[in-house]
Amino acid sequence: MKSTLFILLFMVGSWIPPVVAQSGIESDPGFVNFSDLDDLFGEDPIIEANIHGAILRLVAEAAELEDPELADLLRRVRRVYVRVFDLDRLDLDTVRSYKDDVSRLLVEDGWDTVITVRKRDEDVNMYVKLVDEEIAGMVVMSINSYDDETAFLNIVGDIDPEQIGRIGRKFGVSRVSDF
Amino acid sequence: MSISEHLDEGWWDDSVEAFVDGDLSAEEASRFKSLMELDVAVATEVKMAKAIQHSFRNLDSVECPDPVSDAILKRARADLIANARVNAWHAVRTFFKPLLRPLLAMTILLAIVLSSVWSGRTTTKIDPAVAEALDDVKWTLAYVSQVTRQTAIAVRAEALEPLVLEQMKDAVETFIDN
Repeated sequence: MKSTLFILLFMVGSWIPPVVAQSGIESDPGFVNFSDLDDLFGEDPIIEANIHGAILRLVAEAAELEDPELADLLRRVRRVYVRVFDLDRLDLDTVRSYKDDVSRLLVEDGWDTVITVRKRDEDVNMYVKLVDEEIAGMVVMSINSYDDETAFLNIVGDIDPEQIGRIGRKFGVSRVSDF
Repeated sequence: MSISEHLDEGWWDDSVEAFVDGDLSAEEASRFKSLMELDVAVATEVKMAKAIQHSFRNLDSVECPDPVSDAILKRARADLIANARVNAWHAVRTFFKPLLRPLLAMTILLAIVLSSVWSGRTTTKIDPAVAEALDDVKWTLAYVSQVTRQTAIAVRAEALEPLVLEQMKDAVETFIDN
């Protein structure tokens, strides 16, 4: 029994991501390492994106043609990370536990809680990292047991949530399972 | 041998005719008179030319036959039209010649600009990987926007209104009743 508990604790501990990493984009105060997610779920995400560096600059230039405000936002963003997984193959409590661990580490690292919602079929946590009163990063973690989907997002950079909300409303977000 | 024999025949005829018609300058006329005094042949030639001129002037005027005058008028009108065409073309060329180079330069410049714009349009074709990344970014922003909006609605409906606003309303009503 003790050895089983130890293994479980070890597994849970191994999922806990280091909040701040070492070099490059990973040394950015707004960066959050979600690399353990793939191991946690053990399957490919429904949606995955990790856009930064040169490709992000190209994306900003491409956006200039159709939406200059979006291009302006993207020039101040240094990373867009998204992982969306299907929930039906994983125990909901395990995912909630992972999310809570990440939340605790973020708060310990000085991230501010913007939204915390815990309902029967939906959990949402949103955090922002402030550096010199400027937003350096944003994290959104969402568990939707009604749709059997969970999403983890990290946007790194000098971002304005109001601008994200305004620009984001222009693009329709289809149900993740239809994506 | 007279002096007139040494002179060019064409020049000689022209000079005699000009002297008789009074077309020579004063200096030329003076030299011509000196020549007449030196050479009798010259004086004779001049005398003959004056006689011919006098006889022509005394002739009765002759009416030109209608066919001849018609032909002349027809030819004159044709020449007039031809000259008008030439003059008009010359005027057009004179007017446009200073503008020709600037117009040419402007046309070349316009062609360069249009070609660069056209080539710019063709090169703005987005790489599929970038287009996919742009779609991912849009989706992410839309997702964040939606989560924020839905959460705000849920907080208002499930927490703010029942727990705060309703209680405030009850408190105010109680206060008013008392």
